[in-house]
Amino acid sequence: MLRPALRAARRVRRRAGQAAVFVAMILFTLVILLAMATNIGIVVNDKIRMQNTADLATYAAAYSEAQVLNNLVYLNGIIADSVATCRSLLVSSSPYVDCLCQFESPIAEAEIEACKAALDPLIMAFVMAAQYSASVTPALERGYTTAEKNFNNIESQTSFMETLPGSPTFPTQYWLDYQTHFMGGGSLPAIANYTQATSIQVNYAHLTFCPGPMCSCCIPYLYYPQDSLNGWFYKENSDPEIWVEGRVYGAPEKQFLDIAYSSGGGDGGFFGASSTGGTDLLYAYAVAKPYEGSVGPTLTGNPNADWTIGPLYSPGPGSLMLDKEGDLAIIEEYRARLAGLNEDLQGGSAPTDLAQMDGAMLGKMWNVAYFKH
Amino acid sequence: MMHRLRPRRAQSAVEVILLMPVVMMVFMAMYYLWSITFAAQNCHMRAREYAFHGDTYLGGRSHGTSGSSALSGSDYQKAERGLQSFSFTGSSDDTSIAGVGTSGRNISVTAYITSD
Repeated sequence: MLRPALRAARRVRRRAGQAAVFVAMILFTLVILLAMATNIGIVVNDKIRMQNTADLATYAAAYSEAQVLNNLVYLNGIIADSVATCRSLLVSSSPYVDCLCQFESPIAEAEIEACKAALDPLIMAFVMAAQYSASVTPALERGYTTAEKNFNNIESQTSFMETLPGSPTFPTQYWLDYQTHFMGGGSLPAIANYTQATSIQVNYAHLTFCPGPMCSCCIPYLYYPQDSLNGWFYKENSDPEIWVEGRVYGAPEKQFLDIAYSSGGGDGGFFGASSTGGTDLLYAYAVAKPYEGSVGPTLTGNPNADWTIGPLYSPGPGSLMLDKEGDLAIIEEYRARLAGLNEDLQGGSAPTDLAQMDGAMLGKMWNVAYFKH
Repeated sequence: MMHRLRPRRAQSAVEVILLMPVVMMVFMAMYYLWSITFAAQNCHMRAREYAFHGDTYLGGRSHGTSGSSALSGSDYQKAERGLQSFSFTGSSDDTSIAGVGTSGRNISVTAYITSD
């Protein structure tokens, strides 16, 4: 008679603590959820911070390059003004009159030599300002400074692709060829490819008298001697080759759920989202460029880019009185602007990691058609 | 026998009732964390956009932002000639963090575009 009652009591006894197990399981689940919420917040927050840092640092570098370019516009303008002054001087004094009975006027030739001597330091000032170490290097340093200011200890994990051949910030990507009259010439890595106008024409009229049968200075001859100067710098294409691409990466500051977390990344843990080798790193890219200015006359197809500034004696042999100011103007209006990556890059998807960025046209061929701004 | 079993009938209900505040606290904590994260993202983005675009991006609403912008009028500022120092900063505050007894909490973020 007692057996059923005992069985019932045992059943009751076995249920004791059953709810506690459920409570423990639920609490554990809730704690995990709480940790995940915290974790996701940290990751999202750090990702936005990194993207902001990439944007701001890249913009700072581009803005600094814009400053350099505006300075180059200014220096190029001084060179052009000096050429104009030289041309005006020769024209205002024309014709040079003497009884030397020779093609050239010694006075005019001396003035041309003085012009050349005056141009040389101006040319060198442009070269010194445009060379890579004085233009791109300080711009990138400002980018690094800005990155560090926005995200602690991120400077060493910031890059502007300066070690990547093909990048506009690669030290030997662009070159500046120059030639002075008395100080030699050369070729230097620079912020962009600039070519110097080395056949800028100057001329003058020379009225010289030669001896005749009845006199020593009575037979007039009118000559138009000419010479050429080394002067301003121009580009054979427009300016879009100047870009700054920035990359910032790092691990989130805290990772509660990443058991295999390594501060340097590469542990293949949770945030790499792969057990076969995630990086645990967050990456952010940005592209910016200086725009809206023009360092020098730009005219594709005209290797000399002869810039008609200041008068030439006309008519004279070889006088170039071209009206190309619309094409050849220089504009000291460089600004900086962020750009976006074209989503069509690499067949429909934007690059997501450095390997894609490096291997894509973005890095190797540097086709600016893949940027939008 | 039946008298000893009767008091245990509502045991689960009591446990659930006891558990409810804990569960609610956990969910409220999650909501609070979400609020902090949301406010932080807003601050970061507003600060960055103010440094780039100033009030233009914010449409005239301050959202607790202030600073100096790279945008001047309707266009970006022309770069000064020759590696001058520059500093554009956007600062943003957010006090909209939801939660219990959290009034006065504030998140403040500054975005820098600087040469120094």
